[in-house]
Amino acid sequence: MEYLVPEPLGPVLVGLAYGPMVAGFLERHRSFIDYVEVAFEQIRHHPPTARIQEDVPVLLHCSSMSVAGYVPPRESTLDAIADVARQTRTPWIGEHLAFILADRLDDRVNADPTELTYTVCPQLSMETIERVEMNLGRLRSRFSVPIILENSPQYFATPGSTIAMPRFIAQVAQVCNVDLLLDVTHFLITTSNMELDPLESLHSLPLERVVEIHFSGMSMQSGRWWDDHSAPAPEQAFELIEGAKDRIRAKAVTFEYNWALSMPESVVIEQIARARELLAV
Amino acid sequence: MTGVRSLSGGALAHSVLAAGLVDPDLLSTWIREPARLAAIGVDPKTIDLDSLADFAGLVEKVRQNPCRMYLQLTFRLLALTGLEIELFRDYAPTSVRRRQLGLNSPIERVDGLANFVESWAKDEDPVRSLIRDVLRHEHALALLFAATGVLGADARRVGPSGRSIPTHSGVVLVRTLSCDPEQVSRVIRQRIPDLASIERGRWTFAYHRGADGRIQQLTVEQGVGDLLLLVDGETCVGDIAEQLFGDRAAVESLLSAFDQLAKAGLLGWRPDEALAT
Repeated sequence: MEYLVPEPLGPVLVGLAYGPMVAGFLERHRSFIDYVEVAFEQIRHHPPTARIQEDVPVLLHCSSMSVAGYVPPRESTLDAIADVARQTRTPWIGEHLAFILADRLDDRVNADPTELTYTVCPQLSMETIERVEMNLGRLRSRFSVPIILENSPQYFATPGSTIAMPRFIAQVAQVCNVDLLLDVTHFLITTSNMELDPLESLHSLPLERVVEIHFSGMSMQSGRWWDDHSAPAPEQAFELIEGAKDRIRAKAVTFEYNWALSMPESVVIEQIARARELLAV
Repeated sequence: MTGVRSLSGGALAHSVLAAGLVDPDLLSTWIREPARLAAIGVDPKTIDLDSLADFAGLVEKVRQNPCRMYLQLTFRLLALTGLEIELFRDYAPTSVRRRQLGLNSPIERVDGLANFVESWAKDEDPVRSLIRDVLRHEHALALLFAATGVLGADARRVGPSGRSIPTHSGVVLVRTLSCDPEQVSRVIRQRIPDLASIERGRWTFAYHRGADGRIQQLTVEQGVGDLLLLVDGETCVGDIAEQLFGDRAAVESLLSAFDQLAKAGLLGWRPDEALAT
């Protein structure tokens, strides 16, 4: 069993998000990647997924903490995340700066909250930042490794929002003293949909706090940009990182190609090499 | 009896988004009657319901990822035509009802989507009908792959007559399409696909899985497709001749056609008839 141990000031580690194409890629190109990022939910719903750690170190990702939400996750869920974190010896847990649970609109007694299957961009407000701070305070005590927060893609303005996404992320990082998982594709989607300048917006983030970067695809449909893990990361994503690389010291870069059954391996190999070169110390 | 929970600020905003995402019918109601949102304390002007419905389409698309193993061409085509969000937004209400019925296996998801697209795509819409037909093709193959307990049929012709009953040997499906999926596949797998080069017309295919598990796809004439569709393991050759030609005298030519289909492994004779004649 191998574990992921990023070296201080060591080279950036590169991995793939666990999905249908990973087994074949590992079989043919094991030396190209340092780890596989596995979602806690994949292991919870299908425990044999954890066996991948016999072949490659695992970095833990998560969508269940509802960090920016008003409804806490169940204690049993947090216990299960802690168990998987211990089992995988992940150096950190990447969680979405989003919510996945919400109060029901009706007032049925003892009714379960609304549980989503997909994380949702929260209201961007000081109220939510305070909520994130409170939630993180409670969550951090449950785990022996840090939680880092991943920026959500913003498709439309959440009701009641008073802050633009870049400032929201920066404020959360500062107020909550938390490091970041920069999903560069989410960031591009947000700046494109909300008509913000991507590079200027990127530079407004505390980029020194970026521990991990995600790359994935994006697609334009029905008049706006959407996250797309079945398409290769666009050129603009690499250009954006290029434009801020002097401020970024990420320890890991993960390519999220976990929706598609396959992806041209030559493209993946080329992008992995490019990420290593771009973020070389 | 339930009332409305007293929520405000971020909690209310999150609750409204979540409720709209899990309940597409409720979201449609809000779009038609925005005043209903005001009744729960949300100014309808502050929420882009149309975008929320599109987002529900993205969530639905991701939920259908398990179908991708069967529908690689369909998903690729949807991405290239930019219709993923539109389709899955429209499909979301149907999908919710199917999930409530427990229809969650990959093949059940493919069934649900394929059935929905039959009404979503009209012949006069060239793009949607192309997606529908590629989906018809992949759905047929998926049904064959997922088929269990496939039984063959006796292909020996021991003097069948008009009273003999032909039956499919294994599983036989017939689909008429406005494209040739092989050609579509070649086009959309190119580095820069030219969708305008996809040929449109009329093709009929017979999809077959034999008792040995082998799957084949045959291009057939429309009449052969019609013939295969009339074979139900219950109707005799004479009745099929009557249905097709209005003339039982056509039995001999039909027997000859059935012979060819039997040689191709698609048909046989119902055992009792084969033994009896």
